[in-house]
Amino acid sequence: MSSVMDRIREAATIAAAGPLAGDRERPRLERVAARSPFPLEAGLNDYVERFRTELEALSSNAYGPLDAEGAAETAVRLIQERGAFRVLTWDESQIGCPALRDRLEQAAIEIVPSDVPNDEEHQAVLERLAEIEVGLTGATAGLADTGSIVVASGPGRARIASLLPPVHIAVLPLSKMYPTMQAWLAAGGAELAKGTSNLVVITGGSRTSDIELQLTLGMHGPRELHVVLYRD
Amino acid sequence: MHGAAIPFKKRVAKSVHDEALHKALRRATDRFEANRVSMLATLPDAEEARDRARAIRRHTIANLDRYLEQFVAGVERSGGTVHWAAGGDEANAIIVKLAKERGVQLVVKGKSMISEETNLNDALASAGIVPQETDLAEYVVQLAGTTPSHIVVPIVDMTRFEVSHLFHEKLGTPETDDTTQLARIARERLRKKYIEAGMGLTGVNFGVAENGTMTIVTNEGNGRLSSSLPRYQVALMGIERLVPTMEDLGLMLQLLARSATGQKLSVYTSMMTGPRREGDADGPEELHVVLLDNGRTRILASEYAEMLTCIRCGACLNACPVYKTIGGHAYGGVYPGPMGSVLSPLFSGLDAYSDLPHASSLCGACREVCPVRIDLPGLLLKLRRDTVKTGHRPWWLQLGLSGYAMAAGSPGLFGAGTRIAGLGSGLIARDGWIHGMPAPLNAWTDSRDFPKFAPRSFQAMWKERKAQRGEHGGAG
Amino acid sequence: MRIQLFVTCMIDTLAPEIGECVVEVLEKAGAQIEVPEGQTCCGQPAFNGGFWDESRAMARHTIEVFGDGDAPVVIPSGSCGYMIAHHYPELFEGDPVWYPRAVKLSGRIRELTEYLVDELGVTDLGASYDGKLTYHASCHLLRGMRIHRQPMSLLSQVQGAEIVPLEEEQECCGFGGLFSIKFGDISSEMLKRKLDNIEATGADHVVGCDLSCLLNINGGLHRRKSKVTGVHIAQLLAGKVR
Repeated sequence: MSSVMDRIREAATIAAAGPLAGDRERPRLERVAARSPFPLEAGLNDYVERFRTELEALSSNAYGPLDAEGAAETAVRLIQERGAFRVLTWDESQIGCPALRDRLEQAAIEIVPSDVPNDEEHQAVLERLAEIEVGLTGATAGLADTGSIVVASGPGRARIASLLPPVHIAVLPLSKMYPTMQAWLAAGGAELAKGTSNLVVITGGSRTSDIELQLTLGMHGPRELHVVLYRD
Repeated sequence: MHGAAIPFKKRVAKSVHDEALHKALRRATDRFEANRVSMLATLPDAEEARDRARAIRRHTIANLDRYLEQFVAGVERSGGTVHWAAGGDEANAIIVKLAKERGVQLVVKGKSMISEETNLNDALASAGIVPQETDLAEYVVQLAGTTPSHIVVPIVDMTRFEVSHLFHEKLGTPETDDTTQLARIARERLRKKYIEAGMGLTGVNFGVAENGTMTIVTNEGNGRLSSSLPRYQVALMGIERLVPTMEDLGLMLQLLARSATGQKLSVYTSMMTGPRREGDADGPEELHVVLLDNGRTRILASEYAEMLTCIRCGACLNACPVYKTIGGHAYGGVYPGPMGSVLSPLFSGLDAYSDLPHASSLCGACREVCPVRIDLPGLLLKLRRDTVKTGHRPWWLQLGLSGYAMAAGSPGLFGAGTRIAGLGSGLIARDGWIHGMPAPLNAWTDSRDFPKFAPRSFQAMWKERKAQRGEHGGAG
Repeated sequence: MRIQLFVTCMIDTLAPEIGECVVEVLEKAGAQIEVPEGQTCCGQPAFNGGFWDESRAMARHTIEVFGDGDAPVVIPSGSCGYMIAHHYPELFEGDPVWYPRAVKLSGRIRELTEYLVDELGVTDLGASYDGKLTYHASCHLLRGMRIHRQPMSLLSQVQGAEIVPLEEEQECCGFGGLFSIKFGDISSEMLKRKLDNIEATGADHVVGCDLSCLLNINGGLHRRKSKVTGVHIAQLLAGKVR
């Protein structure tokens, strides 16, 4: 175990004196990530438009920006359009859209809690939850230049809600829209990642081109991704 | 499992003239390469970004001990457990033990090239544990009992009909030429497996030293499912797959998907830090990270340390005309293409792979596209030097080059040789061309003509001209 | 401008007429040429084959032949140019006597088109061609020495010539030196693709800056009895191409 570490130490010393001489010190870089594609004067509206364009190019959909009522209505409509009457969801407080719970109840859509225990019930619970057609979550951040949303798991924020159902609806508050991943990392994303057992940057719906480079949407993860932009 | 036992040339002969294979390879590589170029262009300072990526990766490797220590501390702080494995067998044994201790009977796997290095699937199966590949292409590879032929699109060389037939044979499903249908068949089968599996195993694209975070990227979602659903999670990671900070990770992520498939980002970029935490709604209760050496420290201590900066994007495969002509299986190792031509001899020794470093025209396309600017042709040249030093040199080449070197050191001899070549080739040439030569030179004339040597060399003519003009030596 | 010419072993022994064209073109552009006696081979075949000791012997000879002066050493080949410019220092790393000499020589190397366009500032040599031409970008010239703009400038000034783009222009022709013999089957497949692309342009000739590629390409074109032939850019610029 530690003998591997000893070998690494020895080898790194050799490398730093040999082919990697000059790389021992951290390079002094003017910047790390590539420049943002946005001009300096770009603002939230630009980010939103770019986010929408990117997402649509991935065959996913962005709705809004909408107020709380509008966002909730959109989510309900999407669920009903797909003939679903149950939704696998984060805790409402974690989604952060006030009108949501009421709207879902009014539409008689069952809100299925997505807690999965790690005991003898584990498999049975997953089997049951795997039947649910729609997952509904919030989003920790939106990344405009790639049309991505960041979904961080935690208490009341199950991983499976954005993973198991074939349809994933995410409510993204505008206050969490960032121009780039770099901006989000610098603004607290890095800290968040450290403090979260699982965080995922989702860029469109699940896909594969493994067979003859033919695109199939919806491999293992959700086939459909819908992002409802909520003006919070 | 991998074909090193069959001589390289024999493997090449199987695929080199296969036009269907060429078409399939180009369909993938052309698209990836075109997309790589256009997506890199969406980064305002892409070339500088690559320079920075190179610098950061080299710095990481030069300080691998320090950053690994930091990484291990981060994993442990977040509730994960770290295991060290010197070689592939040890890694397998660790994983098998973890599984057995926990009564695991089924392991779902995200795509992991490093698990191919260790032959993990065989080790699990031998221990009575079922390894289940979940990436669509790896699932097909597993069913077919074959090996990946491209690190990003492992079944690039298979047709839909072959996949359909395979599913029909092994799964009893109806034949279909609809690729979406075929994908759905796999999805349906594998969905159950994620739920039943006691353990999920993935590779790691990048570990972040400053906090013990690990990144896995997939398009299918199988990486997420494998690392989220089962109760026990194992990440098998090469010791060199690190970056110092989250900010550095951001840069690498800007380059990885663009270089691999020409996407800005893969669909799912997961960042995992430890197992499920107190109060979390779901997630694995244990996270084990197996850090594997398997020859990497040997490479680190060698002239070839630079190769450890590789981020396994596959751009070099997509650029390589040799890869596009012979396909991935011909390389015989875990990694094909230019990266494989360097890694296979370094991992498994020159005896097994003495041909690979020479099977390149050194065109440099690989170096041109590598996001971390590894000098692949330079490494291949050094490996060639090593093959000669260790006695892997054809007698005719040694003879020919020694003779040529001698002549080239002596202008008189060189001139005489030129005249002889001129005379001799003039004799066997027809209309100024040679159409057939004995082995090994027939490797040229089998498909090409060769011109006869000139009766008088340029230098001979130049000398005469100078004599005629009454000049000596320099030009005024 | 005084220069030394390294004609290359291939041109010297296989196509001296190309050497003559190189001289003609350089003199026309205003260069005064010395051809150091006793030049042979830069040592690339041995180096690429992994025979670095033999390669060093040839490199030492070459360094001696070209001396330690300052005049540019012009070489009508990207692959030989790259060998000297990029690999000579590597060959003599750690050698207190030969390393500095190798570095010196490597800094003096100028590929033919690079020298004409960048140093002499000449792009129009009064050449003309009535018909279609296409251009193959040799790997060591293009990606090694980063030379592409210069041959394109020279081609654009050839009166009357229609330069047709070559599909997959930057893809290797499959020569790779000894690779073409050691792995003749792979090499010939790569060549086949290049030749199909060349013939598809409808050009009369494919122009290149490296005899090594041209040997390969012409060998293949001749074998398939093609109407197209490959020519060295020096031949075109010297008006020797019909």
